Amino acid sequence: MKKRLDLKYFVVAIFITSIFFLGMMSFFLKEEKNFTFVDKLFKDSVHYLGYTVQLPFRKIHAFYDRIREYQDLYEKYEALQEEVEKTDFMTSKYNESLKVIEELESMLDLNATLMESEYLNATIISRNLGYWYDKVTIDKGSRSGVEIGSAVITSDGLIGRVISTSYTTSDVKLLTSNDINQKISVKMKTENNYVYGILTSYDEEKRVFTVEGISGNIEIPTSAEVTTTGLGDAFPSGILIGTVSKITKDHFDLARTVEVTSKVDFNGISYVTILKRKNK
Amino acid sequence: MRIKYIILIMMMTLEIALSYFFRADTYFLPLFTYLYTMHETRKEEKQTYKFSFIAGLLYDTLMNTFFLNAFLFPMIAFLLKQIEKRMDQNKITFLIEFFLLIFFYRFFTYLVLIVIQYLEFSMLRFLRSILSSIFLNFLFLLLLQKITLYNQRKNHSFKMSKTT
Repeated sequence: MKKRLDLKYFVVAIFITSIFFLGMMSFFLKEEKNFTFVDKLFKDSVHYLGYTVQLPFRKIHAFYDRIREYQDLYEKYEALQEEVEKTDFMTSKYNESLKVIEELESMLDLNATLMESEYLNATIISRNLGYWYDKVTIDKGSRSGVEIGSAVITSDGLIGRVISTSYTTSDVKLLTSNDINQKISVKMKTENNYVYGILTSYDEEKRVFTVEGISGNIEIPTSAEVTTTGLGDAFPSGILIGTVSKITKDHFDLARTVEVTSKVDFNGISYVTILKRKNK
Repeated sequence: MRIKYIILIMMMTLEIALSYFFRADTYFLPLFTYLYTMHETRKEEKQTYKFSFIAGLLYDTLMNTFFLNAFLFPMIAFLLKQIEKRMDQNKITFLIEFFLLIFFYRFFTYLVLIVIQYLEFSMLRFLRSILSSIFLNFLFLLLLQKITLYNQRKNHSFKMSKTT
């Protein structure tokens, strides 16, 4: 009789512990986390040890990359020559736009717009530790001014945002993670206008993002650029995510779903840029 | 005793270092910290759960996964011990144990993450997670086993020579 009672208590205890554990996990995994001093110290030390082990191999890799680059230097020079001719025109146009924005800002008495950011370059130390979390660790932390929530980009577009920082490293959650909390407001460029939608998920098989909740009935051209809107305070406005590759309609011809292909190779990112919000 | 923890940190370092060189979608994802912990827990009886809990906790700190591994490591160590009691030690059981180790870790982690709605279920992703962890980790565990056997033989012959 006593044994049966003990077993009952044991099962109830395991049940309560499991619920408590899952509740805590749910809270801590989904929240953006500030580490304690000990956590930061341990994390930074192990990551820096890992980085030190990588260093000689990184140097060899960089050396071979440089040799490969030398081989097609002349073709690159020719291609860049054409680009330079366009650059002068683009620079003057850009400066003009900046001037207009500045004037408008002073007219409206705005302190900081979502477009304004400072750039900070960083190197990836580790990627996809633990497989499920779609995270990378970069070699810049709170000491370099990285803040939780900062957008992270590469030359090909947005890759994610900073979810935790320690002194010398930060974790970046990639856009490919189908995290339920990470809905991003995006806009697609049509001929004269923008169509707004919400980036909801990433299809690992097709390697495309899905945009849903598209506003209006304006035709969206394929290969239209998809950028962030700056709404919701998560990402600055105008950061490239990808281009429209396919548009599908539901059975009732009402809702549209857009597939967006990103140029970023999310599995092999090595260098990134952090956009720090500029405060005037 | 302390050497265990030093090797544990070394395994974490190696895991971080290797993760940079392999792409995220590769079939060579390292699980060295986990495998080393499981390998160590097989050797000792007394400190098994304490060591696996601390190893899990350190691994959690590294990956920001609050208590997930601290909970899973001792649990899998317990399961593995129960299986070992019912099995003979040979090459085939070594293979079976290795697959079970990888399966248990991936399965339980995925289960917890789905239950708390952190991830959405995808059978393909689950199978890929197992497949991606087999090749490199099998080589690692094999190497670990060989080193342990070599050390055991060396210690045994040293003791024998001392007695004679």
